[in-house]
Amino acid sequence: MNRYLQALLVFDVAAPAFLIGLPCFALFWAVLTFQNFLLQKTVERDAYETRSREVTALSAQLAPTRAKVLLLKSLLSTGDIETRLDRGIAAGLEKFSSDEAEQTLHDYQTGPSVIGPNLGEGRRLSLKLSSRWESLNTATADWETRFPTMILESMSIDLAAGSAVSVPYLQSTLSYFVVTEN
Amino acid sequence: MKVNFPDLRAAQRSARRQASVRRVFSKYAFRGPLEQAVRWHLFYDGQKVISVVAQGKGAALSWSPGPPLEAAELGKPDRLQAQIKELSHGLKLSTRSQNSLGVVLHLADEIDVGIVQKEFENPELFELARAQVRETPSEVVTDLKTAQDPSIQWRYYPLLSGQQAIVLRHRLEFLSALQTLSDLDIKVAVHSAPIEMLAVYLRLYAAAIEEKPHCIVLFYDRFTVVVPANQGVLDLKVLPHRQQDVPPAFGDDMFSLLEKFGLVESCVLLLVPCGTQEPTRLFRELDSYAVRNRKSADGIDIQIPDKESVWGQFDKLAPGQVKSEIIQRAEFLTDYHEGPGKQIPLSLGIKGDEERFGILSLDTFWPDDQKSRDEQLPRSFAIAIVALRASRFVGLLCLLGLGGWLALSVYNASQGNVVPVLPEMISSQQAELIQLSATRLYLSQWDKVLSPRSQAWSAMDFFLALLPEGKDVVCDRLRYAIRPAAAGNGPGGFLREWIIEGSCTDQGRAHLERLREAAVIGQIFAATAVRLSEPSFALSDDRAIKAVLREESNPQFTAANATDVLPYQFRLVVTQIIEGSDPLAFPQLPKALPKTGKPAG
Repeated sequence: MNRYLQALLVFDVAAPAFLIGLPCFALFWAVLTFQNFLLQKTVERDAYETRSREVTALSAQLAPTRAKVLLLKSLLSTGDIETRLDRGIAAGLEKFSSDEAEQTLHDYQTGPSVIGPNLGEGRRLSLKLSSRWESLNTATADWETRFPTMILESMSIDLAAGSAVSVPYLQSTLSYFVVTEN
Repeated sequence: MKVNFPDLRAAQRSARRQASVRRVFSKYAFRGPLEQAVRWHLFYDGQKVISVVAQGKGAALSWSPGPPLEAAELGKPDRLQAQIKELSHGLKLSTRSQNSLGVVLHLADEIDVGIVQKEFENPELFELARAQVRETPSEVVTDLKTAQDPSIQWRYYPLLSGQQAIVLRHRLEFLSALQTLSDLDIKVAVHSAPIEMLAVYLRLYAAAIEEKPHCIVLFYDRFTVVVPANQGVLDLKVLPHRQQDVPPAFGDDMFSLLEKFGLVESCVLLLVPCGTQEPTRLFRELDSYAVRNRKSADGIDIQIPDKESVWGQFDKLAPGQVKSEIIQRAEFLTDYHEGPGKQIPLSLGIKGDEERFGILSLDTFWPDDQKSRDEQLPRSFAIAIVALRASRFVGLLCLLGLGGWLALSVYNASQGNVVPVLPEMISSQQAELIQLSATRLYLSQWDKVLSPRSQAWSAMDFFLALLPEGKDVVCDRLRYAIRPAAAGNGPGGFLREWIIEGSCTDQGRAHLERLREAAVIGQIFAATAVRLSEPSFALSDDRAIKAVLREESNPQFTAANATDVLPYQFRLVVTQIIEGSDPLAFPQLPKALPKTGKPAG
């Protein structure tokens, strides 16, 4: 190989590549890395500030409903549900005398609702009552308001035997499905 | 090829010196001495130096007296350089042209003819032989040592008409001094004065030689060159004077040569004065030899060219420019020839020789072996080196720029333009956001699940809405149920059904029959929705309602019990279908709230 070509390759190509090209590359890499680092930090900062604003806005939005969350959690809780339901139904009936409304049977089962699989597994409550129309209407409105988790699956109301048409006495059967947080 | 580091370093220095930007962009830097803007012609015959300067080319070529130089000064580098500086100054050469100077030394101090090796005797091998004699003269010239002094240079000349080849030798007495000029980027060439003179006279006498054989005798002070030509150059003999005014055995040598080629009977002997001596001395020498040896010289026509007529012929080269009093030496007129590198013709005859010697006269005796050629940096390399130097500069600028950029970025960052956020803050905030979002979702989803769809109190109220006031209708049994809708109504859809069984009068029957009308039953649903504020009774495109009434005569009705028993029995079935696309359709139960962080509720 021509000695000038060798000298050119060594001193004008290889040496500058090593002494200038490599540091250039290293510096370029350092600059890019640092810029990426800054960019990442800026993005993180922006994201942090955006999230902060979202947290503030959500907190403000949810502030009035915090109590509702607690209530919902309490209503949907499966813990001690039968006792709570019993108390609620009893509270609805205790306003009336036994002539006006009387519970003759209640029964709990566990399983899926007849309404469909969307509601999952839950408690099923069957009630039998002897009552007058108004008493039954008021009592059901009372416990259905206390427990919005109760979904009426079926209801049958029959005239009690020997009941006068003018002041009817009714035998009713109600079947509820109680939605819970599974 | 092994090259060590010091050699490479030296090569790099030499390359750098030759690869200046000025040289790369100069049109003269990589050209030969005769292609330079200014040529300094020096004629040296061993005693004196004739110095003339030529500028321009072709018709624009002009001549002027060169700086005076003594013979001894040719060997003094300082003196040569000083003269060149003075010459550049005197000619007011521009900075760019100062290095576009060629020095052409025309040597006539001594010349020698060698014997060509057998394998190169064929003149048609001249291309190979010309190259070989520059590299290793010992392979072309017989009886030469392998190791040659670079100041001894041989060149090969094919004589096609003579079916032979000759080699001529010049000794470059001032090689080392001239090499210092070469180091200063001044192009140097050494021409053989006798060959140049032969080229000139072949040109002048080509027509005459075609008509009659000639023998050209170039009469220099230290030697005489004899060239017999008959339709072409037949031979070339060098007769050294050996400290005398004429060659010691001129007559004998001349007659031997003429007899060898059969030219004694008819030939023109052209005695060309090339030195300070008059050629009549040669004529006398020849005449005395013929008388002494009883040789007949009747067929030999002796001519001595008239100086004025010869220079007049030269004037045709460049009318008005060729002045003998300035140019002084006809050898310098090779400057009018086309540059070297031209293809040497192979044609026989005087025209071929005229052209061949015109080219060969430009052959420089300057060392031209591979080693010396390797010393010259090719233009392509010079361009590459300059380009790489420029790229190095750009690279340095990039390095500085990148360094500055990095420093500025670090400085800006340190000035607080970018405030770092601790990972703990980010994760804590993310957890809080997730908790809040989950709470919002939880609320919206459970709100939807727990929307009133099926409650006893509203179902009972709807029963009452279906029946008229009074005693026209008596109900025995009420049934209510909720069931999933058929699969065609979409997932989550459901239907509600109200069933009333009882008895009625004619008026009650008429009321119940009206319920089968869609408008009537729809109006009852809509009114119930408003009265109870219960959206599940509201009408929409995603909901369907229908009422089916079955009625028949009451078998227990008789005229006797007409006051207690009503005449008709009926069964009314009212159905409401809510499709899966309805907002009230049952959704999938949501997942429980995540139990991370503090409770959002």
